[in-house]
Amino acid sequence: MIMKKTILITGGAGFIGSHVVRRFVNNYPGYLVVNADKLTYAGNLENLTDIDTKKNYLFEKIDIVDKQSVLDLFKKYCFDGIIHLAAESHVDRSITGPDEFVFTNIVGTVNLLNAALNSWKNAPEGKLFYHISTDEVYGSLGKEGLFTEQTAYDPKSPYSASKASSDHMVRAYNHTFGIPVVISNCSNNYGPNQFPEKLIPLAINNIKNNKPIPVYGKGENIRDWLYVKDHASAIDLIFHHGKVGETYNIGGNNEWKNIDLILLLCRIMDKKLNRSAGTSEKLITYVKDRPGHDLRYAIDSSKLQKELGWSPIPEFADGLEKTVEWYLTNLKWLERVLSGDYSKYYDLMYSGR
Amino acid sequence: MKKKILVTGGTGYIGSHTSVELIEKGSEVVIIDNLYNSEAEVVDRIHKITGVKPVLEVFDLCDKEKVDGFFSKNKDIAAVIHFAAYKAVGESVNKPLEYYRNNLLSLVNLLDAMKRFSVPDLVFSSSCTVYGQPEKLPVTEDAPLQPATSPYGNTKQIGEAIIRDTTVSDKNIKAISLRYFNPIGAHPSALIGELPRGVPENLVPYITQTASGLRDELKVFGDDYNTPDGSCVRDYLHVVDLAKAHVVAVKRLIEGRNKTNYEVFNLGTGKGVSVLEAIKSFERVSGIKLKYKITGRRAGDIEKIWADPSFANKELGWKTLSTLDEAMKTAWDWEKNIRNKKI
Repeated sequence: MIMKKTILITGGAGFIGSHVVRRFVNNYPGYLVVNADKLTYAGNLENLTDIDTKKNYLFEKIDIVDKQSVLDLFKKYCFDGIIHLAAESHVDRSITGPDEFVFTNIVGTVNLLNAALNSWKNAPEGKLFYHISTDEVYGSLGKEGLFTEQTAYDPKSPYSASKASSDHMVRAYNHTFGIPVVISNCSNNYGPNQFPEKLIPLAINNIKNNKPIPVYGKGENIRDWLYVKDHASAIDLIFHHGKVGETYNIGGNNEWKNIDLILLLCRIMDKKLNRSAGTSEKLITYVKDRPGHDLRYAIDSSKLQKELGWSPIPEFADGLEKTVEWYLTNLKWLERVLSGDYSKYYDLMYSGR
Repeated sequence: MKKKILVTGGTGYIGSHTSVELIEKGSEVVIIDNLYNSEAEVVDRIHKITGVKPVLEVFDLCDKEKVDGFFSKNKDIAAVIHFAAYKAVGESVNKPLEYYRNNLLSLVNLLDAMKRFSVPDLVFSSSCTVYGQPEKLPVTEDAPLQPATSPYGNTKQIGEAIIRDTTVSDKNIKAISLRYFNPIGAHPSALIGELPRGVPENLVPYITQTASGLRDELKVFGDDYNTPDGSCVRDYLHVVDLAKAHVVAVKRLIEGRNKTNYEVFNLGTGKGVSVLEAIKSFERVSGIKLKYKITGRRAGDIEKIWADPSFANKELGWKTLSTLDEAMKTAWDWEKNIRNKKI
């Protein structure tokens, strides 16, 4: 039988975090999963209504920037493992307001590291601090080549610089204080529950409502797309079987030019909405490029596939179709996210508890 | 046969293929799986293939309360096909207690619940590993069992003994143990297949991973065995053929056509294939020249084994239909699909 553990998942109300929380709560009934989230605009407890009454799930609303509440959380639970996803993640927001990225992504991570160090100092064996990061720390690529775990860091945006800093801190705490850590860097995620500021859900929503689909520049930037559930399965595998001190790249082996991706999405949407072929395409509108827009990210995840046996499950068109279906059958979710009503769910469920 | 069949480990490699075959023959399938080594998404894949989405209950069969709770809620289960088990030979050597606990406790809990909730029929997933290196080839079901060389192999032997003893003590329980030779390949849709965790211990996933570029080269362990080309010889059968045998076996039990309360069948093609022949088959169907190198023997490997499947052919009316090349092609299609390779 699978061992009992208490694990902390930070940012578990967010897009990727909620998929990780769901997977751990469902697949590991012997674990107590504590979801700690600040519930910023990107955190939405309605992502977890299917599992939030389970006995092995608890929610804690905390801001990891607040050192004391992080220490208190660790005193309350004695965590065996931490999966740290809480972060500000939208590059555009990091350009208009970098400070928040420094606080949450760097200071917040250091607060968690200190609390883990304090809690585990006498017995770090079997414990794990797992930091979830991004391939954007590696900078930008030209037309050829892939990021490997050996690629030197070269972050270009305030967002990626903040994630690179936190990665360095995590490694430094491993090297200096002996905290067992592991890091994974992933490519662009997509799938159900993603906040509609990101490319795919934004496009789905706009196509649905016959609004223009904004495409940066000429749409020639290339991203590697990873289905969020495949990311969650990789996180599960790395958390349980990854080697302490190692870094694993996670990617979909699935590069798309933004414009080609949008065109594929338009074709899928035309089919789903019974529109004649080519209808949605007309909504594409080219807008002024993002400053410092990295040309291409592409990630080599062969270490993870080779050493731990991970592989993504769906083929891209399949995952994209599933994602479209999800958004179309969860219009309520989208509506509540866009109107801000989702933030009321917390008050309804948790205030006064 | 409109019967409700419980498939434990039904999201795993052989379990998922068997679930597909059961559904396609009109059975209702309920899966119990703890997802320790498989993905919940597999039921969506089964849905895509068959048009039916089986119910998936996620829990650990070692949890007796959960097992009993399941049977008390599902009074209409006609039979059980039990796949759920840890299966990595190498890992079992390092984690014997986990293997004994998981593979045996789950079986005991299951049999105990079957007795108390009057579910009479069990098909058990066993393995040709129980024969060790047999003296006579092809190997028949009455060949003597050899001491197991790994805790994994031992859990299959002990598992068979637990089931046999239960059928002796309780005439209401009937069981069939199916001793598989080497299952390979994937569903022709390439929607389900084998997902080995870590470095594969088996030949075919190692071949396909090498061809897809994940591994540098395949090591062929030994070319100095007493076999026609010096490499080890196995009996590779297509997983879809294997899955179909489970449908036939469970039907035999449900319809009471079993000859004794505990029966054992070998499931194989009856044909020995060497490692080097398997590589040639892969090269034929993929058009890829495989990088491989001959190295020394690997400890614990059996020299040669293949099945005499005539008992299953005659009694179950089952035999393998796919050729080695056909099976190998599906294995390659699956590999390309999961690595997103458009070769």
